[in-house]
Amino acid sequence: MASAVIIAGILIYVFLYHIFGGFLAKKIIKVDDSRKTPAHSHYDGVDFIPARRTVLFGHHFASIAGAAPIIGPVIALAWGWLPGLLWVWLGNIFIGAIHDYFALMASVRCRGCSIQFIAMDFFGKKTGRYVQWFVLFLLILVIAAFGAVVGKTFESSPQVASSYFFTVLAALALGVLMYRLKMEFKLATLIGIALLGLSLWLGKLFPVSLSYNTWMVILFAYIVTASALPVNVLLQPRDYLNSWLLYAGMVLGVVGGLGSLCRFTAPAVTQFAPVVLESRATPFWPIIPLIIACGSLSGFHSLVASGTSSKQLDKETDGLFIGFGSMFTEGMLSTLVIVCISSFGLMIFQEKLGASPLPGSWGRDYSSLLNHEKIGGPVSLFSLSYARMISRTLPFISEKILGIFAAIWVSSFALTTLDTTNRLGRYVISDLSSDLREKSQVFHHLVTNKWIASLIPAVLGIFLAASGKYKVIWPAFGAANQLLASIALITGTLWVIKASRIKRSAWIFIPSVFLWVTVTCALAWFIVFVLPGYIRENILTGIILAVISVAMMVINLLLSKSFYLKSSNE
Amino acid sequence: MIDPKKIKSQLCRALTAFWELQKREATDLIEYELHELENLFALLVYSPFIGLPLPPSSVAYELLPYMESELKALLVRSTRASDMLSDIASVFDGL
Repeated sequence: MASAVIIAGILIYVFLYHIFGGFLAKKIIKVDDSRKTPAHSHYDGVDFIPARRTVLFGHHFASIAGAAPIIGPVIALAWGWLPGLLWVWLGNIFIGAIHDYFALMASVRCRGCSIQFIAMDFFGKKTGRYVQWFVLFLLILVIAAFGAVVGKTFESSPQVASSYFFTVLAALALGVLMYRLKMEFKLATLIGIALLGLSLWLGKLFPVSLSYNTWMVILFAYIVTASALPVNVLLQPRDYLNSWLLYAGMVLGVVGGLGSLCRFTAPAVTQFAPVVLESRATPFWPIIPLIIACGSLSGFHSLVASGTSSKQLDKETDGLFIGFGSMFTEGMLSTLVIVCISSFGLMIFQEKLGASPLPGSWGRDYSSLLNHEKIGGPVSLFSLSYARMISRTLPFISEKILGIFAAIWVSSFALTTLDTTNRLGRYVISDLSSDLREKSQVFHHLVTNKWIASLIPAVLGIFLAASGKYKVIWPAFGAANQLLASIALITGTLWVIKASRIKRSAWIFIPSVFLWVTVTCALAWFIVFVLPGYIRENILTGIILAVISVAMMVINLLLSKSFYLKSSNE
Repeated sequence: MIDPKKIKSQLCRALTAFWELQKREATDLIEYELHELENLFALLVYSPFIGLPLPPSSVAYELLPYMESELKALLVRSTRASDMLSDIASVFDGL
């Protein structure tokens, strides 16, 4: 079954890439290689520079792939494996890939402007501000959600925690070899990979067991330190090692999944509204996009696509491979995650807890067992299932080491995101507070101080994470991300209608309306049904989360109004 | 018919592209910081233009021929100064 799903996934993606992607490129975007891309028309040798398409694909994929396409599908298994898989495939093909591709091409046709700028061009300056608010909320909630998930993993798996800090030491050593001693690139890479392997082994030997709250303090100190260090000391070598973790993880996953020949033990479908969020019956629609974000669609991708990727696209026909292809690859990553848990999740529950959610009660029990201290949350369940799957195919690799490898893979991506959000946060806060300059110079100076601007998302995010309720924070993060996606998709739709003057805009108009309606309903459901219970248990963090969620809803409705007025005029 | 030479050349091309990608993965953040520093350096050297006489004008004029590419990049960037969010988002890692 596992092999069949992986092969089916690959075939569906390859087939639709050529058929559906080709249709979008030729009939809707109307790609034309005689039209110069910004990489040529604005060539400056620095930002605008044509890149080889395979290289740009790899860079784009590494920029969009993080921990979310792994964590989301694990939580969504409460609905059974089929609904999650269908959402990954259909959402990916008919919403996510279109979103990424159109954001990229809109940017290419608009001289490399960001999606935020294009939205401002269509809907006025206020829209740009709204996008920035969404990005700020997204940054705070990313720190909260990823911090909580990593904290839970480190608390339940002391070997993973120590391995991670050994990998940080490995990255520091690689930084010295590469950038100080200027060692030959391939040799330094080999040493870096060997150090990475050594870190996993040392982590297994010297576990560090600490409480959840202590991990929160350490994570906060780590975020601040990592983002304050020069990039060549830690961020760059660690990102480089992460790229190897990503490739190794995906290759091993595909090989392991194809070779394990295992059956799915998780039920295909449980019920429409199993218990997923805070002991609440959670309906599949509209909540699913808040749970499975990046594997299916993600607003953050529109920023990446309209950032460096659009400025380095050599020719318009390459856009499909970069925008559409990268999203499909990320969908394949989420497919692998679903395959792992569906095949071995039940077995892991039985081994760790002596009990497992029976197929009949899977929907009711899965979520609470996932949160059990012996399991340790979505990252731990994924890493244990992943290790079991690979060791079936490749029995000569230690299952324990594979488990630590998988947990490090996800934790590294989550932690990388945490410390880089500080830089984005600094930029967004400085920009958002520019209007304050004339009203209150003192306050403006205070907020735009580089330390204070960097620390605002980190402090709020870790404070939210300290509540330990990742199941409440995760959908809020999903909502911020998907609302951003909704803006980008609507902008893309209007751009197509305006720029191409074609009649087939329904292909993106319908997904954009569907996405907006779904995410708006999901956020409303979250505010009405989940937040009150959370506020009762955690007053301060509950109020912060409520303020952010309600603000997102208000901005969303204001935006919709301006979208409606603008499209009516058009 | 499978042509081993063709397969070999395609493998070589794939490996070359892979190493090129990895080199980029190993340097993109440093490159980003470098461009920021170059912008800063250009601003410092030509600070008299914005009313801050940091280096003597003669030094600035002497450096002018060597600063051509930095100044061009700085000018292009200055036109996009309010649109850097996506650039920063794509340089640093994703979600």
